[in-house]
Amino acid sequence: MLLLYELLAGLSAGCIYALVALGYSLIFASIRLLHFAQGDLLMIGGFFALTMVLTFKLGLYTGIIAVMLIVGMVGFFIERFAYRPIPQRMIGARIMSTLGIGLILRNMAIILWGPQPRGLPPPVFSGPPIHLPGMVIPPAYYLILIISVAIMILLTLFLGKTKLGLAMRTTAHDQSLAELMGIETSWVMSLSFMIAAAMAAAAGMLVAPITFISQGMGFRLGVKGFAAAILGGFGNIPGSMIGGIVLGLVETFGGSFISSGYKDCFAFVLLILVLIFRPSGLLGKAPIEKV
Amino acid sequence: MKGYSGVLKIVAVVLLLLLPPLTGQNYYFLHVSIMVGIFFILAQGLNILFGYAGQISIGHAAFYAIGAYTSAILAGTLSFPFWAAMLVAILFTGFIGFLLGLTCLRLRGEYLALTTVAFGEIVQIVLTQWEELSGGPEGFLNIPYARIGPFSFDTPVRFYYLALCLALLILILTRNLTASKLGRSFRSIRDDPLAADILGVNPTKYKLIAFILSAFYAGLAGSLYAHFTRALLPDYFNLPLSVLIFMMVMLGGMGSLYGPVIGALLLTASFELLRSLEDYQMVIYGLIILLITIFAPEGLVGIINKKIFQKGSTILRRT
Repeated sequence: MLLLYELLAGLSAGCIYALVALGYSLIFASIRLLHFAQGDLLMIGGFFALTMVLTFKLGLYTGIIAVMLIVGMVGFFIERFAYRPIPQRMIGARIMSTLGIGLILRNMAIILWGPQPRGLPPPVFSGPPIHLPGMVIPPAYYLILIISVAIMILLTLFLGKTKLGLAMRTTAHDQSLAELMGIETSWVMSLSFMIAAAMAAAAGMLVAPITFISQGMGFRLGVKGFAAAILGGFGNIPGSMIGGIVLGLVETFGGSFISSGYKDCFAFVLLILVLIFRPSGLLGKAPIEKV
Repeated sequence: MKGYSGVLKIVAVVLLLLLPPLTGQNYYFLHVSIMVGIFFILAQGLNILFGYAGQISIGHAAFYAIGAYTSAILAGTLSFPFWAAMLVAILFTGFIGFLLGLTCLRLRGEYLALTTVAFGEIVQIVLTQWEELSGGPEGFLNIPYARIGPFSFDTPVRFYYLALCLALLILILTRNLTASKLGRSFRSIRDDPLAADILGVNPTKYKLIAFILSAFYAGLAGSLYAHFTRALLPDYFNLPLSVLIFMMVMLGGMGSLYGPVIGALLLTASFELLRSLEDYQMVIYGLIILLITIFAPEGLVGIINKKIFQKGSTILRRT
């Protein structure tokens, strides 16, 4: 029974990682940027969720849509004014500007929402608890699962079936080719970034039942999202989902069966192992150097 | 121009030597100055790895932590003399640098950046969890004063001169290293590993040397830090600290000898000067970093060279 409970906890944590990882992959594929502020967008999403629920009395579903829209717009401005001016070949300077944005977002959050960790009121994630023999599954866990899987399916459909999705994939594949085909790559790149920001924001709201929303939560969650993205193959959309879920499971089971103190370590050890032995991830291609 | 820059350097060194009496031995000011010195050594180490050899690292706080804890354990628990603890700490950090370099040989760019982030996180978690060795989250306390023979560096002024001497030594060492064959090899593997290989510069060998050298510097900085604060907390060596070191190198100007000086000075000083803004301190700080990055992506040294020293002066030349 405990095993099943661990499995569910691992899966719901994994879905959050998968959402963050999807954002990274989308950004890396479309504008080739290692986005260190992704975790901070998640944090901002969590705080906006707080405002939406407490001040505007929105429910879970309307709240999550509102949060995704707001953070998506924030993402638009960030991409236009902070990332686009720096040429793509300057890897260091681009990473710097994402770090600068992260710093600004974290400290804006302190000014706007205060330094204390806050939690969403539990009734937000309400529903009938599922009774299984010997245990009760709280509604939060399955709601996280259902909503994040729904978002992932929508994204996959959008990328695979719509014309705009095709434009996004073409731009990610080859920017100059996409321009020759008449695609407005500048807008497509903005859109990719906005979608990635919205995914992070959704994760920020969904993570509320698992952990408190605090200005420092983003950094480590963000790095774990990275690990998930690498695990599945950077820039690879289905890979990111699988990577996130594998990571969530490894962490939960490792935490309960090996050592809970080192729980946070597993993700990073896994990341380094994958980078050494299979740098292209579980499903993906990455450039590696021969030595 | 050459004589002019020489005069400038001598003036700078004299000013640094006179700093404690000029500021009336103000404790706060000396503390900040010592931290600038320590950060300069750290940033110069990362500059060798990233600026000269092109191997990005955002986990440098890990080497810093390894240096600090090794020195603290040797001097505190095993009562080694200060200089021996420092030497062993430098060598051990270098060895860890060698291991990390070996692990990361096939990675570059963003992938390398990520691996170093993961490395930094692992080191921090291990330091927090391994309580028998590191004192755990409560910290490692009662590290002895730095002392050479009968002379103890037990006041901020004395420690200031120790840090200043080591920082100047590091500056001269780096200048000589980067002007030598080693420096040229580093730059060649940064700019084009394939061409370097064809010309007989073995990229694998020089990448490893860069990792080891960089870790040596961080080990020295860590050992200094341990004996300066005399208490170590694992929380201090977190990812934001690695990011800060990275920012110092980037803002100053990577691959230039004086870049880390400017970076360490600018980031430490602006952080302290913005203190009066309270809540807005870090927002403005972030904004300054962002604006410098957008308008001077090559670092401040690049701008200074363009605007002030247009006529080929060698003082701040980016090599």
